[in-house]
Amino acid sequence: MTPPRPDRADLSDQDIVRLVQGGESDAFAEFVRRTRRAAYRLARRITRNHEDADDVLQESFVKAYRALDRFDSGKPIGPWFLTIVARTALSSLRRERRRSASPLDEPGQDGSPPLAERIADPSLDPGSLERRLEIERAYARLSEEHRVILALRVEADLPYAGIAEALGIPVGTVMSRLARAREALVEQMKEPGKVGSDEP
Amino acid sequence: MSPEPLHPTREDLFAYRDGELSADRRVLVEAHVLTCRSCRDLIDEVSAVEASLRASPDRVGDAYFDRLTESVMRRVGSDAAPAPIPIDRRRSDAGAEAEGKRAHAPKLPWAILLSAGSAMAAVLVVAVFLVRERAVLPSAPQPIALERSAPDAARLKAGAESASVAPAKDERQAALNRKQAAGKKTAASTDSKALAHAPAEGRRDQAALQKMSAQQELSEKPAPVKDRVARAPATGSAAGLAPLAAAPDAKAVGGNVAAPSPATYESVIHRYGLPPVWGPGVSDEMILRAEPALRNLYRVGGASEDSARVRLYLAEAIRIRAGSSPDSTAIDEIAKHYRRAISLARDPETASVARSRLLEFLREVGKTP
Repeated sequence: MTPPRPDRADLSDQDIVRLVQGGESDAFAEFVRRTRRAAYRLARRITRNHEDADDVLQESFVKAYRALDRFDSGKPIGPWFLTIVARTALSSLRRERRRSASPLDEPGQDGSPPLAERIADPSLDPGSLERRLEIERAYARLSEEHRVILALRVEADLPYAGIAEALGIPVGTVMSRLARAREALVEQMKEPGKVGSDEP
Repeated sequence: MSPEPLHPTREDLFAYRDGELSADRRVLVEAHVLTCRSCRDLIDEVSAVEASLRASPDRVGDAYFDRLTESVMRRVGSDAAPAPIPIDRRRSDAGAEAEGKRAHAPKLPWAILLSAGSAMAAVLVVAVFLVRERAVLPSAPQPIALERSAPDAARLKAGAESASVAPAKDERQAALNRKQAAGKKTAASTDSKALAHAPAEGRRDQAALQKMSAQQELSEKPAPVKDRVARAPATGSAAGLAPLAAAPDAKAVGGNVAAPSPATYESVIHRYGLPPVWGPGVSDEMILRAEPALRNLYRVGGASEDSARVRLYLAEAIRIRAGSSPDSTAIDEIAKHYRRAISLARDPETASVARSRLLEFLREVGKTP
């Protein structure tokens, strides 16, 4: 694999971007290393399966590399890249919806491994694990629209303007949709099975 | 009897929590929140739930991320490097520093905010505002809109653009010189030092989460979880292991919860009598029977090093199901799996089979490459 270059590990994000923009394409490996976990978590939350998340990441990194020459290196690159990931993941989700109506990462559906298996952290005590399972189940029961906006806020930590850009909706809609998603999530925790409503 | 307090809308309440309200609205919302326990509880509850989501494990380990990096760099390596841009387009790091501060914004400091003086002032502000606006809100649990939380206010400033411009010099060389001796960090450490904006698990909501966890521990029954975990499939070989259990960064087993043992590629093909790599001799029936289990590996990332072989089988399964005249969605899907099998293959045989099957398939559907 591309060996990590210690002299780049301490460079700022802006320095890394400038190196890539200046033609040092191998500096992009450092960018990938810095962003891959956050990007994976976001892609996985949206696509709800590993392989599609993997495809989304591959595609997103290539898109980012090709678009870097137009990126203003004075701006933080994290939100910019995560927006690319979100958009790519949403496209993937739409393709997935077209080809299959079946849920992807639903707990225990279609013979898939139980949720406990997928999120188990052996260091957790049973009570905390149960709580985490409840939350993950509640999240999984939300509508796609609510899951996506929560992923953008919770996993990507995007500001409202960034979420608006990623979803192509006004900031006001982000506010209301996010509020409804959070209410629905809390509601699901209290009343499992009640489906959160989408946009009116 | 005192009237019910007037609540902000949920939109404003959560925007306040997220640090997304303008300064004037924030004052109003904060004034309410400081005196309203139900609104504070709601914010804390949402914060705790989101902290839990954020703290869920990655489910994949460093080995996956290293393969990903390698694969991405192969792909971008075949691209021409982005055209160098003029120096005057580049700016200082101030924006990123501000962004870093935003990422580490603390949780709402209710205790401090709740000082008596603040609360009194807050009540006055709200009262004046409501009288002026003649706002009448009915039931108590229907909040109106509040503002961003105080700690998140710093985040608002994060977006402020830096006005400074980087000096026009060879920044690339300068950056290298500046940092040349400094870096000794490993790839793993660079992961944890993700971009300033990337989420850090369990950051600002940790206190609320701990509080909630303590409450949970008192009230919840652990038995169902233990039962579920105990029933988790144990089909994987001891060495094969599961994305979670085998992940290099997975934590050691502790307490009473056993590490689950999900299926591996090896166990799946053994169970369904399939050869390690698809070949013309494999019957359609066997492939379709194994498809759900293979799809499970696909979904959870359990295929690991055998991801390419799983893709190859899935392409064949979809091909069988699509019949002789697949629609455009099926064609895209099949071709995608073959292509990914080629790029992910760790052995020449899988890559070669996937390549020839892709070419044959494209010819079959009239899309000769």
